[in-house]
Amino acid sequence: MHETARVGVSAIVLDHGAARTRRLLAALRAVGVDARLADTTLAARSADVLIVPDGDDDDASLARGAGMGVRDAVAEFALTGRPLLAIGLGVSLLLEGQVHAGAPPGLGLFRAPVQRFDPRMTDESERPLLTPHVGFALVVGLDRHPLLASLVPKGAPGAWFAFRHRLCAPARVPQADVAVCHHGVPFAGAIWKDALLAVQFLPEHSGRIGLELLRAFTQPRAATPPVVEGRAS
Amino acid sequence: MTLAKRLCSLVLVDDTGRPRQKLEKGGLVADFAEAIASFLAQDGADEIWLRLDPTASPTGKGANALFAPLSALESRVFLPLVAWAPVQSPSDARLLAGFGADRVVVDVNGGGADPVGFIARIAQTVGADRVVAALSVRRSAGEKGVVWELVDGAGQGMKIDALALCELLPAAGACEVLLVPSVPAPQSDRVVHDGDLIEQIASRLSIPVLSAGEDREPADLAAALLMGADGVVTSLFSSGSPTIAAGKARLTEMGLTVRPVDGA
Repeated sequence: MHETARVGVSAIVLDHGAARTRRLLAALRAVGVDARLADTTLAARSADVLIVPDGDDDDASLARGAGMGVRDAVAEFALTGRPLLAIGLGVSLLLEGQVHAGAPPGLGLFRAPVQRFDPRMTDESERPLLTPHVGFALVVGLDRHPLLASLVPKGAPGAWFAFRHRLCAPARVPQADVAVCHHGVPFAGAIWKDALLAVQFLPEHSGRIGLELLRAFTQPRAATPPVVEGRAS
Repeated sequence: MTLAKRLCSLVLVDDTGRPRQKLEKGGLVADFAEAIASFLAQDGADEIWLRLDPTASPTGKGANALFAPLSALESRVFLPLVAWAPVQSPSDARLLAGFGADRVVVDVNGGGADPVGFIARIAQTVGADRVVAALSVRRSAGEKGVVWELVDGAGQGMKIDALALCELLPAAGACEVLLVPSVPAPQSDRVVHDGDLIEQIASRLSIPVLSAGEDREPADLAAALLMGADGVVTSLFSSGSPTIAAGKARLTEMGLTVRPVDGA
């Protein structure tokens, strides 16, 4: 399963204070990426790909990252036009608003608010809506992403990925593409715009297809011109 | 489309971290936990659960027995990894998470008379959404009908109502409940999923409910899933026969939604 590191592909996984990174680092290395953990703007500058990982969704964990330079690192990297991948809880940093009192506010790279599943809702069988949303769920629309289309089998409605989250983004995000998932309400399973990709699911927990996603997104390519507006600063 | 029902493949290991059962597939024999887990992952398992055999020596390594297999799995199997070993304190749970487990199973009876406080202390230690609260239960007929009572490690009733206890677990920090029937079903020689209990608890909780049983065929799993379990924890597939692919095909025939085996 492990590949020799692909020449020229280096990824920095950003430790945002609440990060869960070990499996992600192992998955990136399994697909040949020279992946390292860092928590500084300086380290992020040197990366071909920047990854904002999943983490523990609680006040104490997020507060640890609030005072760090993580937000600046992401904002600065986004302006370079190089590939930026946010995963799980990391997605909230790219959205608008604040997930917890102690958490840094979102950068607004995607113009959608971070929101929570409503625990008062019920599912199709009138059972309380599961929170956290944990397990494998179908993501529809990923075949519209230029690098990820091959992940969706021909004729299949979508692709199955592993989730574990309480926060999410709405299924409609202005000026961005969205692959949709459903849990009581539709929500964004993935959001992308130019070189930015935010996935609510966890590729490192999704088996073969998760590794394929990481491989496809980290493949060497030219940086796309910066499209991020002043809101990130 | 909501969540797929989960097949959590259980790999039982001894006090040295070696599996209790070998897996055979395509003429190959796997007898290391990481090799078995890799086979199971390729075959379509949705999660890998490593459990220290509850009959392992009580004076043995305890949670430390899972160090070697978890460390090996962390970089080989890219599915959720769950560790199930005796957790008697928050430090035991932190140890298992540190070994590489994404979630840790905690038997609530380890908390004695205060199972909710026990779960809360562990959840505070290992972080959010990492604690699976396991309840060993037995059913009995009470004055008000069927009662499910928590049992201790020796199988003795603890006079704690499992239904009432379950409702307190999400607020304590448990992200999932695992139901572990502890006595053979009536007119049976094995411990099977308790469908009535699953239905009662699943209808009350907003966290996933999983069930473990001594399964002999995919229909045993369907019984739990059709009653509302979000997943089953089973060693049915741990020898390689039947395959998970065959099991999922059978569950699909029964109208259950499962993740396709090829992962796509």
